[in-house]
Amino acid sequence: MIEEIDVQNLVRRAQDGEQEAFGLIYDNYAQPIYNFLMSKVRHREVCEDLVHTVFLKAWMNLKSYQPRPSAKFSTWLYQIANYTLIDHWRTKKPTVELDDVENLAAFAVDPAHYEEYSYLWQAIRQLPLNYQTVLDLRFKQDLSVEETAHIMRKTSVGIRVLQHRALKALKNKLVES
Amino acid sequence: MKWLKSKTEQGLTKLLKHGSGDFRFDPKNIRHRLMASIEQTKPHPIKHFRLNRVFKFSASFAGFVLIVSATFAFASNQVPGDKLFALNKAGESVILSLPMPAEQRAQVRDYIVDQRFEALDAVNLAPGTKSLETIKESDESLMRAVQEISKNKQKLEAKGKTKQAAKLEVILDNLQKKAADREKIIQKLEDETEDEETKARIHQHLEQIKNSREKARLEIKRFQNPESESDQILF
Repeated sequence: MIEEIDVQNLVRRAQDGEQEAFGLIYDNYAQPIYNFLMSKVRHREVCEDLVHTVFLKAWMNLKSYQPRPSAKFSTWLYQIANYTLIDHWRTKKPTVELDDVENLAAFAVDPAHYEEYSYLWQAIRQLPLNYQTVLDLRFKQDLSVEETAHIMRKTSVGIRVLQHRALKALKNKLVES
Repeated sequence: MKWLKSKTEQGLTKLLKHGSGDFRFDPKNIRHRLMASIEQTKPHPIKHFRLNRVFKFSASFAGFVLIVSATFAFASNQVPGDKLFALNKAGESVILSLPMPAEQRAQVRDYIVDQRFEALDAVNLAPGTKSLETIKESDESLMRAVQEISKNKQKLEAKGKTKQAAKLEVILDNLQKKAADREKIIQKLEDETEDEETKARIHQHLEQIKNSREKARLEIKRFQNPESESDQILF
């Protein structure tokens, strides 16, 4: 991962129309964005299309991006990814096979890792999308409350409440299983 | 208990952090597609503050409303033969299509006839190309007014609402009096017209105005002598 200051330099170059700089931004963030989308979509082709859409939207709207001290560039990207995902659920019919949904290990770099925690992923899958998102951003992507609030367009207090409810719901699901 | 709860949450968060890893995918393939798409797509220009767009939209909407209102306001002064007279008539139709009591409707009809008769008075002072059109519109507005007011008056009478019916009778009486005055003007215009075809058409409208006036007169007479069956008019 490149340092934030270097990312901001790349962003400025990309804003000036330098496509290769944007390519480097893609190289830096493609994997985390793919992980974020894949844990919810659980379909390889759909997820790849969504990643393409997220970065294309980012390129098209790059000139409107303004750096903020409280938020990294990745926050902006996750925000686009989150809304792209919401749009996807809203507009597309589900095309995912049940077997694929059940088994995230099939898509993992280290399948054994996901097999070990399969009970966790099955429980998460049953949570509402905003619960999944807050858990993903806060604990998997390790983003701060403020960054998560920015991505999900909520207040910091709202995120803390949502996170608490999501963890409670996850605990209940794990107990049930 | 609270301590226990927080311990559970800590355990879950640790589990979430440890229980995840990267998913396999082909970043080069997506990069290739992305760069090809970027090549064909230009970034959007910097967008101005959203309020600016709201303001622009509001301004254009307000402009549209202003233009439409101004056009209708201007059109309301248009007389038969003018370019925007059709718009004036459309505005009148809209007003007449609104639900309103019979008395108010009769007043609107009376107002429209007044407008046409005023145009006729103007044509009388300066006869020209608008004469025939003005006479035609005067005839039609009077005919419609008499028909509708008489019909509504008869309905009110049938319901026993004689007071309201009497108010319509006053309007009907005023209309027939005003029409009598305009018959003289139209007769004068007919006499002054040299073109035979126009003359014939003016004469035809004059006869229709006389007919409408007679209907109004008979309706008033019938109202004053309700037992007189012979005078009863049905439109």
